[in-house]
Amino acid sequence: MIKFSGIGMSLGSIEEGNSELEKKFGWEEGKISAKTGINRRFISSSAETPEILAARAVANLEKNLVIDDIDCIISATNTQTNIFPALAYHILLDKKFNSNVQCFGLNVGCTGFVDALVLAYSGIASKLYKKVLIVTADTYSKFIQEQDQSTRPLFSDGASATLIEFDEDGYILQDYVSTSVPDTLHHLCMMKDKNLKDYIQMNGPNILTFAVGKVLPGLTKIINPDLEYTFYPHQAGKLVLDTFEKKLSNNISMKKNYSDFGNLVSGSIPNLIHNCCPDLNLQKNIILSGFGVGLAHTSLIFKK
Amino acid sequence: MLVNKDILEAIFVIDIEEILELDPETLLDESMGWDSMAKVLLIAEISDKFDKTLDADDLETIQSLNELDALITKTASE
Repeated sequence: MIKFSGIGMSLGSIEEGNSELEKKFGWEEGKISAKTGINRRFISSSAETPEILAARAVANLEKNLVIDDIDCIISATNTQTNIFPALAYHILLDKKFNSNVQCFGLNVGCTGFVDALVLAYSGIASKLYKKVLIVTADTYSKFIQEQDQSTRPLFSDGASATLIEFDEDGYILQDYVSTSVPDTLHHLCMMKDKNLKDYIQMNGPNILTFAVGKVLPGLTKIINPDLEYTFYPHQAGKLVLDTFEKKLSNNISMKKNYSDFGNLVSGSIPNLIHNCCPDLNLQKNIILSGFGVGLAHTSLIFKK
Repeated sequence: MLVNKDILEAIFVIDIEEILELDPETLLDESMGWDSMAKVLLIAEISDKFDKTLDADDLETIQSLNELDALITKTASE
């Protein structure tokens, strides 16, 4: 039904190691890596907005693919510069797309790529579209307060552009789980300080409780113990993914790259695929799992 | 007497000998390493060792080492 035709990435241009942050926070050397498993982040410069990073990701995708004939653009971001129009429309700025392109903008966090993929798949399955461009972009670092030392080491800034196309021999959506837990939105959200400046508030312990207590059981329900899967989870960090790895059965091969990239929010799964699996379409059974802001979780199992 | 020594050792930055020398009524604070990261480590440890999910909201109500130890025991036995 669908194939992943290509992925273009664009990361924040400032590469940041741990020692700089450890010095800034007065922490002993090695603390960030030991606690989070993250060794490097990519931070956006003041000029690099989500829109600019997204345009670069699309340009990188175009180096290998023709995308002029797409039918639909779905964008996913929490941090676009202006409330409207959606990031998807910004992609139209630099491109001579068909004027029939339909644009959707999702205000979503770490589930963003998977949520967009649900819409793309539905649109292709119902023959509304043949080619869908999914664009994710976030610059969380611009919204983390100076004193928030527990959140700052986790996130990178970046954007992704993924082309999804109809393919008769492509992936079929075999199973699906989605969870949104009532009254948990305050655990990871944008707030305003006393000067009305936006900042990200994150409660790490509550998010881990959600990952262990809701995401993991949800995933377990849709996994067939007799099949082999390649698992592409949102790159939330060492503690979450180590816990998943210990609890999930041996028929699941988990991909990870958070140590080199940090948490790229909705861009983490496309970046993981781009980085670890140049041709995703060769794999038989894949699981894509996003979880975070909401608090929400969406996991998809595709098979061939 | 504190019973969940291995878990306390895993989550605090101070040595277990130092923890055991403390009065169990000692209040949890950042000087002994009781911060957001310690709470995250605790949830992961409990999941790993007991296959249980500790509700992070429960951590907001405990104040002392003794209460933390009791919460670990309660979660493990649920």
